[in-house]
Order: sequence, then structure tokens, then C-alpha cells
Amino acid sequence: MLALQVYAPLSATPRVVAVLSDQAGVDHLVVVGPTAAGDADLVTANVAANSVDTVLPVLVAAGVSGEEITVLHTDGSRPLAAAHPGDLPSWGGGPLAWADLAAASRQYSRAVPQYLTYMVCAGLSRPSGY
Amino acid sequence: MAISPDLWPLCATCIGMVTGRRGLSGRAFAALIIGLAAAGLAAYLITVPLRWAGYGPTTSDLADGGLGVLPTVNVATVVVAFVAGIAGILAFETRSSSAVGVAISITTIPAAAFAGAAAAVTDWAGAVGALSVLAVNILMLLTAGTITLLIQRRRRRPT
Repeated sequence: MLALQVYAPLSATPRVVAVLSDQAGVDHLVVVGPTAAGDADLVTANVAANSVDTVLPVLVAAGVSGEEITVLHTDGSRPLAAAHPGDLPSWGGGPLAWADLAAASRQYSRAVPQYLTYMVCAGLSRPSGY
Repeated sequence: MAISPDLWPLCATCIGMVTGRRGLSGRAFAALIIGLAAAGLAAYLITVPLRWAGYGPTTSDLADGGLGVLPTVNVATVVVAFVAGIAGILAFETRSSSAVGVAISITTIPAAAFAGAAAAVTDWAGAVGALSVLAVNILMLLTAGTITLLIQRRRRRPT
């Protein structure tokens, strides 16, 4: 299960709640309340991995900027709950949230200084093994 | 899992190809090559002063340091890289479980560093061999990662 965190413009909150309520794989929908600035509502929900690719475009169509939508990966467990098909990806292999995967990939698609530092360190450490 | 830093741009390249995001795959592949070039250059730069100081590897050491077969492309090279590609992309997907204790040696950095060190000791044949291994490894890693993702994407479609 993934956690969805949406900062919806106040005017869009009712639409966001409505579309999320209608989406399969979305549960525990909560309107947390307005931000301190009062320009947006924080809306949270749990979303099944195989529903993310469907849910995200719907949220954007409802008037939420893509930058205000966050998918959170949590390591929580539900020890007393029955197995849930949405509790994936896991060892069993399951549906992937492709949009989420692509977003994660973007973080690693540039030769940023930290990455290059890792690679240089790796390169420096190798000759001692030859 | 011991994760090589170049695994991330490598997986990003696969994901970009499978999801049709050419810009993503292009940038990630460029990052991969730049990173490997940096590793090779670093190995070169550390090997030169080591040799001057009398501590660096000699040409013969380079081949006999337990990695003598490294600059050689063989069946094992292909198989190991292919399997590592599958494991790598699965690790990338399950980011929260990246420390599962499976030691995977994706032989990109060793090959890149070997090439740099070989160049520093003027072992040009070794350098070319290591670059060949590196090219084969990258190709197999990308192939395996992409195929794994394509299978997962195909499994998703009927639902």
C-alpha cells in the first residue's frame, strides 16, 4: 500500500475528494485540513500500487498541480489484517506504479555531484585490488 | 544488497525505455557513461602516482591480482551481467528492501576501473579488454532489466 499526499487548492478540494472516493484501490481518504497559509487543503489516502497510474491523472484533471501530489512509500505493516492485494510491490511480485517508478528514475538520471563522487570513490578504491 | 551507484541510472535507462520516456532513458544513459568514465579516470589518476611511489600495480600485477580474467569476455560475463540486471531492476522497484543481503557484483565499476588502471600501466590490451567487458556488461544489464520490466508490464495489462 502506498500513501498519497495531495495539497489541493481550496476550490478543488471537493472535486479531489469526489474523484478519489470513486477510484478503486483508494481507501482511508482523509481531508486533513487547510495549510497554514490557507491556500490549500491537505488530503491523504492510501492507494494500491496498481491504482496509482490511474489516480494521478485524475487528480491533475481535478485541478491539482502535479507538484502538489506526493506518493509515499511506507514500510508499515498490518499484522492483524488479512493479506491485501494492494500491499505490493513485494516478494510476490505485483503491479508496479509506473508513474511513480518513472518519477523515482528521474532522480537518478543525471550525473549529479553526489553520484559522481560515489563513482570516483569506487574508481579510486579499485586499483588497490589489482 | 550491495548496490553499485551506477545501478540507479542503469535502471532509470531501462524504465525510460519501457515507459517510452526517451528523454529519461537518454539522460540516464548519459549519466551512466559519465559516471563510469569518472570511475575509470579516477582509477587512472590514482594508479599513476602509486606507480611513481613504487606501490602501484605493474602490468603483470594487473592480470594476477585475483581479477586476471576480468578483461576477458566469455559466457560467464554475459550470464552474470544478465542475472545481475534482473536482480538490479527488482531491487530498484522495491526500494524499501534494498538491504536484503544479496551480494551482487555488477561488474561495471571494476571493469571501468580496470581500464583506467590498465591505461596507467600502459597495458593497452588489458584496457581494451576491460572496455569490451564493460560494453558487454552494460548491454546485458540493460537487456535483462528491460526484459524484466516488459514482462511485468505485460502481466499488468490484462487487469
